[in-house]
Amino acid sequence: MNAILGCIESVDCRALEGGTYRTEIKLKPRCVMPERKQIPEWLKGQVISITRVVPDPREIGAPGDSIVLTPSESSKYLLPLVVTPPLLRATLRGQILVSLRWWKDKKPPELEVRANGRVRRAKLSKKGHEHEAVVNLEDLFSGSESLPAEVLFECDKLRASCTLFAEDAPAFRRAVSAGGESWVVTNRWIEFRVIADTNGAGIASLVERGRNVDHFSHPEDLIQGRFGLSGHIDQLLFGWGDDKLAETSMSSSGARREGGTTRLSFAGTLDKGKGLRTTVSYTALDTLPLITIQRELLFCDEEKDDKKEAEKKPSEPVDGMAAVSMQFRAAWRADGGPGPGSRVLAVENGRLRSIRCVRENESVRYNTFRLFDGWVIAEHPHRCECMMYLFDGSQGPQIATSLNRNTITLEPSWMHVPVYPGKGCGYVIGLVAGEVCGAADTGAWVACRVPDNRGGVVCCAVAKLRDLEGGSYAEFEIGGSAVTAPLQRLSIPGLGDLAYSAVWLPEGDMRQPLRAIVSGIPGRCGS
Amino acid sequence: MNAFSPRTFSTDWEIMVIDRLERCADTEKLLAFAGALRSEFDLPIQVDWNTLELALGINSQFDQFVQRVRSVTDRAAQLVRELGLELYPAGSHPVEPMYNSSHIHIGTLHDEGKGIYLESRLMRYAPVFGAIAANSPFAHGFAGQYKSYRIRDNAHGCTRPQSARDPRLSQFTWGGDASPKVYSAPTLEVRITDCASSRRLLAELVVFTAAFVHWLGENTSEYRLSETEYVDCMTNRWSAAKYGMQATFLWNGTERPVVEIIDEMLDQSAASLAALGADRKDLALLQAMIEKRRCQADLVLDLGKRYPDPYCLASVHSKLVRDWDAFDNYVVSSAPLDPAPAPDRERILNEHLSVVGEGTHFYNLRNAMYYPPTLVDELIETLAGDQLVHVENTCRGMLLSRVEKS
Repeated sequence: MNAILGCIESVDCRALEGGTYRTEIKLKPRCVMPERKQIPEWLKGQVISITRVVPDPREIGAPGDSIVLTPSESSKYLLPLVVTPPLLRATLRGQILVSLRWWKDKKPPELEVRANGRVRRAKLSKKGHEHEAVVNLEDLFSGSESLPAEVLFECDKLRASCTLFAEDAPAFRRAVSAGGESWVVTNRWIEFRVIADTNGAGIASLVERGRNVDHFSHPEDLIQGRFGLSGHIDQLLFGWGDDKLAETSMSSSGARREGGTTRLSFAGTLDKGKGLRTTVSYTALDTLPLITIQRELLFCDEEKDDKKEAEKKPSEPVDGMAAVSMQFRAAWRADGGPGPGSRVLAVENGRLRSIRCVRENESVRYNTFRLFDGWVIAEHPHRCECMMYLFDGSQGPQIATSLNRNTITLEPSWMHVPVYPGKGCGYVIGLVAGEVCGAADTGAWVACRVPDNRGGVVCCAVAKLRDLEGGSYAEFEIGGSAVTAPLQRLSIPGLGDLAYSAVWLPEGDMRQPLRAIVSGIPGRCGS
Repeated sequence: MNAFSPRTFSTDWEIMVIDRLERCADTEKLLAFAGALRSEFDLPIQVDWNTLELALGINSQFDQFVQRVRSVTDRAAQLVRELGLELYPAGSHPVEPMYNSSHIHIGTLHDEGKGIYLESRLMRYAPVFGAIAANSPFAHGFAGQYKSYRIRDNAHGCTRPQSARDPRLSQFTWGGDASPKVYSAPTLEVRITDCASSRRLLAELVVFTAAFVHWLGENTSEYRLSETEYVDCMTNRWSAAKYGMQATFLWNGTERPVVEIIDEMLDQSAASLAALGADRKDLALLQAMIEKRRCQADLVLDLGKRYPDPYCLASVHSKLVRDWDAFDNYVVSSAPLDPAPAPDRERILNEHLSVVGEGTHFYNLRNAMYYPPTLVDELIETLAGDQLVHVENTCRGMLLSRVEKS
């Protein structure tokens, strides 16, 4: 969540009983923390106010001083236009509530509704401190249109959308909120959102649909940069650690359905003069809870500049070379509470290892611990969430994990490689999110489930196995209902061979714990 | 003859400077302000990592020092304000990685050998000064578990637990909690102290520390710490970082609240204080801290309860301390705190166990309380023997995993 940094215009301070003071603070927003970005258009030149009760009014400051609002104090100003729900499934009927939580003038602007090639106007009415409008989908759709679709709300310079998806059909769609644009991909198993305006694009949320659990949920009461406390990003470290992706904004270069997958692609420029470009594509398989991410760093020839060319000093090939280390960073809320919490599981030299940081700001990075088995799992046993990352084992990245601000990170990195014009670098990684996982010297798996429209549930496990020594079957058990099913093979370019099994348990339901054994590897925790 | 002659004292006070976008002014920019102040006051004012380092020259009298603290900080605040900046005196910043100190220099010490013997004698007192000055309970990635993360984190290597040294068998070292620093100025430097947010506290703490070290300097005979004394020093250092003025120290085989030790040290240094133009009555803020068992970290901790977000906390804390007296008022108006118990064997084992997760490198336990290697290894053996941790030797060294009891 971001927050406003403002310049205090006035402070009205009144003593209360008990030695505290009620302060009403008027301020002009100056930037958005923590990156100190430009304030949104609608806040430019505005004076906003907040109230705080404090024991010593000096902590507020005086006119001319800066003040940092909390995320909750900032929320209505940074995201004044809110659409509820932002996403609807399997219907072109029903109502959407549009709330304008703050506006600079007494009279709210006109609300324009765009959907299905139609434009409608809606009236925002005063309700408490806010303005609201209710929009009926029947007024926008006849009911025979196909999904996905979008309802876009525009109110002065504010925009927000409600995205309409089919219940289970794989699909993608752009989504809009006052905070910016994102891309949502959905299928039967998962729904994930990619934000591309920074960090070379990254996954901001990944919802396991069966349980409606966002694996990348984050605390709302802390000021945090995009992806700081949750989400997945890639990093391209030049030299000692200059991440050229950190401030790179990417543009959508296409989204499509192809061959049983949904693919989002983005492209961006790291350094125009040096010809450094990057692309990334996120591909979701229709039939499995698996996302693959392909990141490329392209080192094209420098653009010629005749003037500079004339002044150029003699150079050697090494002058045009960069040392680049590729890395990805995933961050999750760390499990709280007593007993064992969030941990990272991986195999080192043929032995299963668990790494669990427990001390504030603890980080672990072992150069000699390389992930040659092609998988690593982050497990949060208290809340029954786990995520497995997959990659090419022959290139085994080095393991790294940390615990910071109640956030656990996984940051595997590949060693530096020489990159020069005509020779770029890149990687393919896969990720699977679920509620139960298994890990052993011989491999690992993650499983999840979704309700089935025939009744019962469908369970799915995705595994990376060294071989099938433990058997080529997966066993799923929910309550008294159990099914054993053969493991299928699937070869994904860049990831190698995976095994999976998806089965229907007609008697299974979402409320009872899911247990599984895959190729003889038992589940570590059940929901 | 006293090791210190003439008796002098000073401080290097590292103060952050923030702008109205709540950014810390960087070292390069601060050079300009340091230069201007240096010329104006003819004092060796310099910069450190994103701080103005107000080195307050050579002082011999308390009043002189109080006046100098006031005039330099008033002028520094005025100077930076011209560019929309404010001084932010604090031991740490809730967001930024710097740890800041008010180092205390005690002079005049020309004999490094005597200084090294004093260093050993001071080892048990350094945590006392650390407890008084504790003022870094929120730092980059750290929140509220210690009153001085700066001490716990060894200030990124800039204040480190001392090794026992013998002047005949030692080389020059830098960065200890309290040690002679004759290579730059003929002084003994106490580095363990967090940056003061209060001018009054700084003045009182500096003169008290100087007077006490001068008193200690009256006896500079060879001094060797016993193993037990050394371990107690490390335990007390940890307690100071954890509890500040609430700490209870292990002291000559007994347990004593740190405030009681300070009280005794004040009495012991009465004559030395007088030589510096001060007496106990002049140290009223320190006296209030003794009575309330509160240090500057307690003010920040109270603030942190209302502002859990580190950016918001830094913003309000900087506003509060720029007037210099927020802590002075806070101590007077707040209720006394209870003493925290001294860590017993079980607490010490638990503290070491708390560092163990899964696959934890054994060297992490070296930093739990900074005990010497043989003791930490013995504690690991005990934890393993009690089946609280599982030990595995690997090519990366010994790895420990906590055994969870069902």
